[in-house]
Amino acid sequence: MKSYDVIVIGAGHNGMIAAATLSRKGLGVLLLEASPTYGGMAAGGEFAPGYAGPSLVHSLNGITPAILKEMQLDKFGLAPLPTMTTCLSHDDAPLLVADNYQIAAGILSREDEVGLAELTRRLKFQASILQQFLADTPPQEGAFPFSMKARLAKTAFNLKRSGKIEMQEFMRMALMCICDVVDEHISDERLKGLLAFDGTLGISLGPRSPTSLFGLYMRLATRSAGADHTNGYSINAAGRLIDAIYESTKAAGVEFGFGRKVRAINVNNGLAGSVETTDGETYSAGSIVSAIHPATTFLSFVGAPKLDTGFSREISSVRSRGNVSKLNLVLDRFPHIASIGGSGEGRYVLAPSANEVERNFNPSKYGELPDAPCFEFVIGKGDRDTVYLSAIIQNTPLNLKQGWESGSKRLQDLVVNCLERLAPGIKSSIVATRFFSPLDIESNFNVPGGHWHHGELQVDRLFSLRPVFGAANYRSPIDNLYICGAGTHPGGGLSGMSGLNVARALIRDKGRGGK
Amino acid sequence: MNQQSALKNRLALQDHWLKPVLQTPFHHFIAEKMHGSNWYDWAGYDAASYIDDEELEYFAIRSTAAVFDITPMVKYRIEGPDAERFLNKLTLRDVAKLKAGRVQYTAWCDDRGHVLDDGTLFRFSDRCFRLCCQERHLPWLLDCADGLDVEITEVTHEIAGLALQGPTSAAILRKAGLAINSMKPFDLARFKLDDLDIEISRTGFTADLGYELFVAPQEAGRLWELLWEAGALLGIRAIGYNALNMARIEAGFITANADFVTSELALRPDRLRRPDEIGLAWMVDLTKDHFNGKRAIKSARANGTGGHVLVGLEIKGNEPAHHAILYQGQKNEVGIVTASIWSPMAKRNIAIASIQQPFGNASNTNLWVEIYAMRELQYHKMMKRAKVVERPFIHLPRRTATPPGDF
Repeated sequence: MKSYDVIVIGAGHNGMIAAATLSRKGLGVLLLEASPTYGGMAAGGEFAPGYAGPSLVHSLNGITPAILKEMQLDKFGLAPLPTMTTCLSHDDAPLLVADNYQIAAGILSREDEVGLAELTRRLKFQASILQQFLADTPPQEGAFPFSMKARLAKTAFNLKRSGKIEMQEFMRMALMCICDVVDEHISDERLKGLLAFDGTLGISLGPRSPTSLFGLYMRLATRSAGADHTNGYSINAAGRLIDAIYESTKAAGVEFGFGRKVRAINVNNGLAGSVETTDGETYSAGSIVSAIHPATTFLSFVGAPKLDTGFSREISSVRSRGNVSKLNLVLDRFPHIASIGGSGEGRYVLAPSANEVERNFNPSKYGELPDAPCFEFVIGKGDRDTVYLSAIIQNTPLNLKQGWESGSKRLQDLVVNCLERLAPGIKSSIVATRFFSPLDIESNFNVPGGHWHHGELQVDRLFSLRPVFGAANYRSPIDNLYICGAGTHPGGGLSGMSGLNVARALIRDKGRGGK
Repeated sequence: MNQQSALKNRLALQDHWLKPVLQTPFHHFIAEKMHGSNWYDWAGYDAASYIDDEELEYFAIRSTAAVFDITPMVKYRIEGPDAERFLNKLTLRDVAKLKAGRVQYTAWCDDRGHVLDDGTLFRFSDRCFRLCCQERHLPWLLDCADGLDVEITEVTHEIAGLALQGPTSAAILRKAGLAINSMKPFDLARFKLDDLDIEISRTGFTADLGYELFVAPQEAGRLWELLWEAGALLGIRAIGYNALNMARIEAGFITANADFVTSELALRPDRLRRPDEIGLAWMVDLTKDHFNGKRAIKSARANGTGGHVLVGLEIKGNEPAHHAILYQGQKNEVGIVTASIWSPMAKRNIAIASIQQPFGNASNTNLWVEIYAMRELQYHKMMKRAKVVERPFIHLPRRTATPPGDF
């Protein structure tokens, strides 16, 4: 039996960042990964059969300066990325929206220009309050350090100092729905559609669901916490970043074990001591960091019998039913979007109005597909002079009533027909296709429920409550077992903070030697 | 409108009296002996507070034999290859040490080590158990069984039970033809009288010689007749809870939601209690593998955060200190009396009390109880000195004598 200081499970970006950070502190680290390659959901591989490229991710958001520094990513070079979004609609003219919902002067009505300025200022301010906590280790019962109390006090003080109105507005808006807030400020349907789409993408809420505004806060906060050039839309950006993280992890001296699927984390008397893989190997370690879905970690690998009943009950109640599908199209030329008169690299969103996004969400509650799906797609240059179109489709529930066997085909047809309406002739330019339903994401990427964030990123599951109270500070009720990944604070996306935080927690607990 | 239909309409408007209260299969036998209607609600069943005279009933426990209906006690059947593993995860004590045919007094906690309930665990075989307790816990038990091969069924309604307690209880059983002589305290055995199946455990809530008998509900009448026939000349008497409560205080036993608040029912966070805080520290087996609350109990012990103790008190005078406040130096409030009587057996004024640490120890000579005694519509306030003493308050050699004597 081979023995290590630390075993990290899952070579997603968080797992690699944790492994590299620990290894640089002088610990012997083994990184076990079930699939044959690194990157997790952001892994490269096949964009479509026969075409290389990332399967799922086509945007970057919020890699923090702390990660860039720790992983020395700047030396791998970060180029500015396209951040422009084009809002499409079947009836209206397209609308160009820059990062942070900036729109060039003279496009919107005068009232909307004023309203949008006020709305974005307010959202940015409120998101900045949350942003202060994104990089933190959430406090837990019995682990509420002075620094966190000071942080909370400072935040409260700053909020108070910003004026009575701002404070009142934050208290009023924080748990509202997106529609009610945007309706107060703007009337442009395309813009409202984009805000509604962005705020609810990847979570099971509609723009009229209470608390949906929080989704928008999280998006804004994550993005503005990111270092320069780490936000944007590009087919290959995530892949380049993941490659850089891998190189850096390798350089840090981490031993990789690809294709080693973990079967169990052996726990004896409340103490995690070793990891068993499906090929029958056992690896022992002083500490184990699990960078995968919390349900897999605790319910499959540790097993409910080894956990306190209240805790396993909480973990089983983490809502993790994915509702996003992915469609990759390889085209032989750039599509000709009629309303623009062409197309180029960048992001396009089809969410014609906030009501349309809400209408889209409704059937998903009942396990049905929308009739006219809302989706975003990123276009970029692909392999061998092709063009890649990478689409993320909202509100496509995991528990589809008709079943995903027939549902996959139906959803693809809906999306492709929709694209054909926007860009006549696109259908005939399709060379290859690959589709992932939430069910496919579950099986291809070992994510229970196929949820992008490894569990709903909603107010009841944030910060000290993510994944559940009692395991939110990257430690777990099992001694020597640590967790990170999208299922922990600050959630999904590609921020990498949970990987860094878990490494820090481990070092703090075990001393620099980590043993 | 005629009078009758008007009455009917009015009755229909208030139908609370239709709310079902279950009756145990012994109900009619007890009701027959009861003068009046002295029922209280025990877990959804009518249970007797007293039959006619609670003092005579108490003395039946101590001098002859008393019969108390324990059918309402919540009971779970726990069966399967992982039953022992499940119970070891659920409860504080090591179930591997509980042999088939034995009974274990035990307790179980939530994640934070706060006591959910206490109860008795009967082991029938390698893989078949029964858990008896005060509160209902099925959702917790089922969730605790997640990942284990064990079947848990509530069988409260499927089993009728009687406690037979007192010095002549063994004689009555012998007379009835049951060979209970070799049964030691906490033994459990199955008997057959003609075609009547009876489960008997040598257990009870009285610190006296006593047994608990279980039959199928449809056999309840036969069991009752059997006991009454055999006990006619041995002083058998039906009793209610008030008498039993006196005996259990003398025994120093605690009752959930009387002496401590169970963690699922407590509304106030400072009312929650760990085993160490209610005198159950001896149960906690930290040498066995993981069980619910183990981590929390261990860390509470390491941090020395056991805020309370549950102790026996001996109080000067003869006035029971019902729910009286405890003071250190007659001034600082440090606890509360949870149960108290003037003990006819110990001839002392005794109580069970929850006290803040570090005041609950035998060397504390400055502990006082404030007693308010109602004397003709006026309270007499008394400050009485109290002393922490060992529980139980009485020791009866007949409780453990094997084979048990005739009386």
